[in-house]
Amino acid sequence: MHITLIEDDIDLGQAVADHLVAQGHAVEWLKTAAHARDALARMSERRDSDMALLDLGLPDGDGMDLLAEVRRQPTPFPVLVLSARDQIRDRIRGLASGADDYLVKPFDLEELSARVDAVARRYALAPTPLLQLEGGAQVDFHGQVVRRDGLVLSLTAMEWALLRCLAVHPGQTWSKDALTRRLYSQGESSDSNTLEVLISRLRKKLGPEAISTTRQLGYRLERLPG
Amino acid sequence: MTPRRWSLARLLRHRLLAAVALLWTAAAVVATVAVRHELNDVLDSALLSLAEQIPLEAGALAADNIPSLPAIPEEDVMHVLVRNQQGHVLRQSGPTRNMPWPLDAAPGLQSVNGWRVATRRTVDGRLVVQVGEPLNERRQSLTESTAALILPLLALLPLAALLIDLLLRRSFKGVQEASEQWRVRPEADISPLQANDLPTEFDPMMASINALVDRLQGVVRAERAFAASSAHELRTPLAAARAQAQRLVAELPEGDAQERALALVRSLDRLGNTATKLLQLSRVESGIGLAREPVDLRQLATLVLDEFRHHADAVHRLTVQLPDQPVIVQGDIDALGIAIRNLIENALKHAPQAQVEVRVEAPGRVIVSDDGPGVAAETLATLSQPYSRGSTRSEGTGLGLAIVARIAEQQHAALVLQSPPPGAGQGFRATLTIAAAAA
Repeated sequence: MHITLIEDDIDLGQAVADHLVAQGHAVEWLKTAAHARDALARMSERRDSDMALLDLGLPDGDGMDLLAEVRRQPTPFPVLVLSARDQIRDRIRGLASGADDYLVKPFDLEELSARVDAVARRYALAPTPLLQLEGGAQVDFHGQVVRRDGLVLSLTAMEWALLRCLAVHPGQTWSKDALTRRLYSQGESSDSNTLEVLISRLRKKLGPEAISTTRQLGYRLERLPG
Repeated sequence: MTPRRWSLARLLRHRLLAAVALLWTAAAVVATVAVRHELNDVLDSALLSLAEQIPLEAGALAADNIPSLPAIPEEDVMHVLVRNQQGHVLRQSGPTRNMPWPLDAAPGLQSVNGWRVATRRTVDGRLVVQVGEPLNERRQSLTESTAALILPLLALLPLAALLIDLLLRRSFKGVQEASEQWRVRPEADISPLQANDLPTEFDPMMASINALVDRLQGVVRAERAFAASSAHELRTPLAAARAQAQRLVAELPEGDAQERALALVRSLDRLGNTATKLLQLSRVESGIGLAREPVDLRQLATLVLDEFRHHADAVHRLTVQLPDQPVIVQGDIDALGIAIRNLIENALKHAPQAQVEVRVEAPGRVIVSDDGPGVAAETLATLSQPYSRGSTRSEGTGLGLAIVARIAEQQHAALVLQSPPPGAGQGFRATLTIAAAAA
């Protein structure tokens, strides 16, 4: 998934972003309400982010106002609130303003992942936990394990991210642009991790039949029927 | 030893009554003395004037018969005796013949042998006229008049006491009303005391008290500000430290360094836990948001449980029993939320591996129970003791339930701790009963 993190604390934002990237998500990290407002407006048009993690206590504005703006937009967009405000009234206000979940700081990063996944599932953004692919590979997203011919294969974080992205809607064709936007955090570019390289590495591990290429259009994950 | 308490009203009542009694007694004594004096004068002049009225001309006594002697009633206390120089009785009134009156008494008044006697002689000294009155008679009439003076005063004394009581009560009414107003003030109200109904004598005292209240207000405001703003100030760096430490665990290879990073995460968890408890305590103590408003316990329990939904430890151990209908109580949703969260945390912490059940029941009960080892009877007694800051032995072992107990006190709720719960072999049960909202 492509996650937009809106958090002004450098140390917290860094750790959360790293954790999410390690989990296979692409992260765009914004540190002010002004930047977040622009990004959220753009997202509603281009749909290049799947979820926002929103800190309420931003230096240049209240996250609650941002939340209200997101909710005024016609398309539903998952927002998970991260807040230092731990009272029930705060939680009620957050949820009533349209937050899909409300997590109080300090939090366990694993709990954050669990909540991100839960919200994603509610929006049908998460892949089915267990997936059988053409070519015989079995993907367990929950346990982060891929098995093929009785062997356990290890995937890099970026490979997981790509697989996760393709697996949300198996059978749907993804354009290179859309995948790039979703996979790479802003300003990130790595020769060893270009989309073409990632695709070829995944094909090697999962079997060439698992991912098919449609000329001019993009890539598609091939799921075993049944 | 505390000095004995005293009541101003009682002191005034006693002293005023004593002063009135003393004054009355003094007045009665003075009056009695004056009355005795006057009465003696009046009676003496009666004796003298009777003695004067008896005609003692020589001719009148020539004969044995003295017709001009005024008749004296038999029953009268005064006796008349007319004798010659030799003591021969010429005339007398009353039956008694031998009056113990000396013949040679000087003219005028004397008290002799139990009689008050007025003596008069003729110029030649041949005849002695004496009019007497028994002294005991006179004493009796004196006593009677004194009694008539003092007895009504004695009867009036209880009346005076009643009057004093009434006056005092009326005078102290303002003080009582003010105390009653202050007694029913909400606990969180720290505004200066109003004393419009109090007498001006209380002004210096009220000024001192309100100066103290003013300082207290500053302290409470500071604590409220601390509780409200420190949440963010503390939680964000804690969250950053914890997340960074967790990243460290993830990025380090297995080994000593990773163990250290794990220890760091655990320590930060404890620190966060303690900070949270202290902030909660500070909130509760400073009386932030002690609202009295309808709260749905069912919704509240759902919200609190949502915090535990993704806890690795809680997810398989926590079960919930909610009623079909909302359970509306009167209270403060944040304070009740803190209480329920602490009860759940307490159960999860002290009953590891045990099943923890949260149940909400009408009309206003939240029950958190576990089937863990429970606690010993003597420990249970200390747990349910009213909150004291001294009981903060270590995090988790006293602060959590102490906070719940304090919240229960403020929210007019009852907290009952049982171990083992009735009908169970082992375990621990905390029942929080909150007043239902008025329909």
